[in-house]
Amino acid sequence: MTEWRGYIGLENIALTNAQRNQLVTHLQSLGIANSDPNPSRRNHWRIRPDNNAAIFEAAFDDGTISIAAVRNRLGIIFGVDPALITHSVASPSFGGNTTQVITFTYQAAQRLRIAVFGTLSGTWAQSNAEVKGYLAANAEAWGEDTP
Amino acid sequence: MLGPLTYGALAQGNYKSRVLGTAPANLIAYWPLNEISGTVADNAEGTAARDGTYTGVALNNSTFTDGGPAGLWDGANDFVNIFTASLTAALNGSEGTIAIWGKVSGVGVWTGGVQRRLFRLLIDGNNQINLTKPTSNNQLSVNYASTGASLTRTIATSTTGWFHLVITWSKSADEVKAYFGGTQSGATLTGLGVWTGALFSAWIGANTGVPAQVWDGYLAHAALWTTPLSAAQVLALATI
Repeated sequence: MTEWRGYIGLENIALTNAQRNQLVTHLQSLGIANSDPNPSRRNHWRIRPDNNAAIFEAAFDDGTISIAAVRNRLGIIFGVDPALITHSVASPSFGGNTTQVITFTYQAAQRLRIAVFGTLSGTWAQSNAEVKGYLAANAEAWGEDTP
Repeated sequence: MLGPLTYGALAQGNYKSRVLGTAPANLIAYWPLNEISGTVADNAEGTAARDGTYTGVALNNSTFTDGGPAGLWDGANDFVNIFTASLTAALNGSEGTIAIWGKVSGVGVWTGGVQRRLFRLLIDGNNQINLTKPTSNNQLSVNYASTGASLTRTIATSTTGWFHLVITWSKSADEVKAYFGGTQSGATLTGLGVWTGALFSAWIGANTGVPAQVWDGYLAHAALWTTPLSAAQVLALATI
């Protein structure tokens, strides 16, 4: 287990409400410092106003947010062999660093997108820069520009 | 045996005393925001029922001008919820002052195009008080909205140091004033409406508890009075 403190995002593409809620509940339970004296290390999140995306920040066990870990969790949620769930990876930059965006597909349909802001090899500062850049680029959707 | 009293500790104690000694009969909440651990944002005015709750803020991440610890809001999902029944009962939406110190995490915050809140009291869209970095570049704004009128003063700045921002409001005098760095900024605003309703939410460093419009930088010494402070009182609070 290696601690990685940073931001991850999830975006629902084609999960049912029940599947989405199961995944969100699981992600809310992650983190290895949720009783830390410093609130910044505890798992906390924000939800996009349309309820179809969320950003989590925590001190994560990096093994719990790996591609394999997410695929296994989706397998549990879908009730299928995780090997039937495929993925593709993109590496955009939102804030001067790199974010790993993983899109998970099942039965020929994209279901979920996970973003690891700053990647698992990045620092918290790099992850923070990426998530702020992402939010600025998507300000209207995330409620950042309403007066 | 007592150890030496450091200048820093003196300075911190002095500023806290200064806030507590400013219109004390009308001071209803003062959050120094200088905790080093925990999720409670202490109300130094003394009413524990008006303590706030931290989410995500990185405590003791930097230092305030007096050398005391200051927390970092990450611009993404950090906030302090100061909404309590006690604050709701004590708040005077017709007469009051909000004061806060702020500092951006970097100069880019001023040109990032994202609206960020320093402080918000919300009843509804027609009744709210906001201290904000708007989407426009290199600006702060203070806004007092009461049924029938919304008054806003913008302040030009791109400082990367600590700044002091204040809004005072008085329905009886029909005045809203903005202060930046201890000096009134712009003309006095007039034409206040009627403050109507009970507090719905209140935040330090965010627009909502979702959260959204999260402050990107540091905040310290937020305080709330039920009277508009005088120019001299504001200047004293802006001086460390």
